[in-house]
Amino acid sequence: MPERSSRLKNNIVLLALAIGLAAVTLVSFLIGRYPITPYELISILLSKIFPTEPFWTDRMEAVLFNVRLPRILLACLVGCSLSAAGASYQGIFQNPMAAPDVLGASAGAAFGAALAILNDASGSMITLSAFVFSLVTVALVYIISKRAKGSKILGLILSGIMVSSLFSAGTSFIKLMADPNDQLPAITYWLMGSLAGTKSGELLFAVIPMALGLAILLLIRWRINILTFGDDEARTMGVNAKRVRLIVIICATLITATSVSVSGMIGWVGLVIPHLARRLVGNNYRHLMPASMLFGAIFLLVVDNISRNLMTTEIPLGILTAFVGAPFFIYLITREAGIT
Amino acid sequence: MSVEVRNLSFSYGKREVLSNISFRAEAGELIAVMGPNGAGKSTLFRCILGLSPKYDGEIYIGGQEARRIGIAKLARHVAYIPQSHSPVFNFSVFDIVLMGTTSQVSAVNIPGRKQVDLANTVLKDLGIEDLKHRGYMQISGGERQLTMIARALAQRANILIMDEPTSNLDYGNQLRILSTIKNLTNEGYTIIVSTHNPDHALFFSDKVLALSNGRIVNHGSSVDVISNDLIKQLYDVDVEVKSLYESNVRFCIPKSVTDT
Repeated sequence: MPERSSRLKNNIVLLALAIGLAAVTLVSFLIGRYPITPYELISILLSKIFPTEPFWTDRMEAVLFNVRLPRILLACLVGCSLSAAGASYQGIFQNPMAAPDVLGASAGAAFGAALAILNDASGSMITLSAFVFSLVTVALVYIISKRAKGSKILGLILSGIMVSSLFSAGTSFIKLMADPNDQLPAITYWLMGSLAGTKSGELLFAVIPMALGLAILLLIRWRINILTFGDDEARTMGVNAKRVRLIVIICATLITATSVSVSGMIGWVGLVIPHLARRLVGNNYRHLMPASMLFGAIFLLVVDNISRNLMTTEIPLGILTAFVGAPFFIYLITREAGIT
Repeated sequence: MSVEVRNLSFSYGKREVLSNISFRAEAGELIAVMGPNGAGKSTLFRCILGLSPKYDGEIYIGGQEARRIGIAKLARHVAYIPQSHSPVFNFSVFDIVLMGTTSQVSAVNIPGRKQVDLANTVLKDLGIEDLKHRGYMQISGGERQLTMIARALAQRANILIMDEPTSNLDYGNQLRILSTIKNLTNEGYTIIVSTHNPDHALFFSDKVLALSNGRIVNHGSSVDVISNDLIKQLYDVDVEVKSLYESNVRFCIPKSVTDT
């Protein structure tokens, strides 16, 4: 049957993406300043299951498990999260231009991080402050939008823009107050986004909220389809649009806030990757959601590999994603079928 | 399944848009709701669909008060067929029809084999199987309207609410959609359809509910209700209601045509 064949095609695309992700992950272990050969990699990994006499150095094992593993996993999770959040927001706001920061999650996180840096906080405190301010900002946007008259969706988006700009102004003010010798550069680098120096602590902090948010979004993805018809039509189809939207906002905020707080501002992933996924598997969230997640993980992992290997100093991720994302998006919109 | 509206009134702030509306649609009956723009047709539909629940009076769906029925359950009784519109995302016709089955699966589930079969059957019954892989944005207005009807049928509701299903369609598609709707009443669906065109109401040759300024002006069989006077009252134009084939077919002719 034909619709089975189109579903089959989409399932093959998903399988190909999963294999691609596994391949990119393996390659990511190998490349870096401290060279590890594929044979050494496989031997070290296997030795965890079948104890063998090590012929590699302890240093090698430390690099693999303490440096590369957390960074690779975090890059996957952040890419996956930003992309899933973007795809979700595009659906519930019926707007193909929606991105993960539409409700102020990024602006809030930036303010929280800047505030923590201004107070000479430790690395984990910076992450925590960014996370908390990110959640507070979105909550504020949601509460304000509740009081907005007229369209709920427009109310949310406009409140998001306004509250974001307030927090951005706050961030600018903190930069003005910051010590130009150490604090200001620290804030600036944080805002550019990076996974440099990822430790397993950050991974452990991120993994629970991200897994939770991603799992719920994956479970309710069919309902997001219905929300693209608008609240009233969704209701006549038996779907409580307000409730589904609130659940999606909570999950998307959780994963965006976690991403931004551990990696800083990484733009474009949440906008470009869902569009690329739409090209591959269509607009049905049944396949779009997992495709966005897998593709986002692959993309950020590749970009992070470039970031840590292209030059002697690391290139901030936010710069690279924009360099790759913006031209790619231009390519998408100039192709005949349009961006949707 | 029947729909009964009893003493329904609805206000937007101080402006009353529906006033004391009462009527009943039996199972398998079609009611054409006529009236000029702003007569209250859309508000009446919103009340029946549970979108504007703050009304006075009662609405009964199959004998049960509509406001006491949960969202998912109401969707299994009453389906809405909007005018063919442009969605934001280009779903395939099949995907859209399958989305009609959403209320049959739990919130964390995806329609399964049973729902896929149902969607296929509905597409086949409406004769639009060949459209199923086309994008909704790439098909014609008539085909979109059929897709919306298919979505409602996949919802498995017995009561269909249609908002001006022939607007924006060319002449051929208008007639095709009208025939489809008439066939659905023969299959036992209860249909409430709004229309601006008295000829369409006469085509269905069932019941007519004439609304003006939120009140029922006339209500009954289309033959009895649609008259020169009613059209004058609703739309402020002069027409003559004519009949052909021993009064089996009725239609309106504008006075400006018959005068010359």
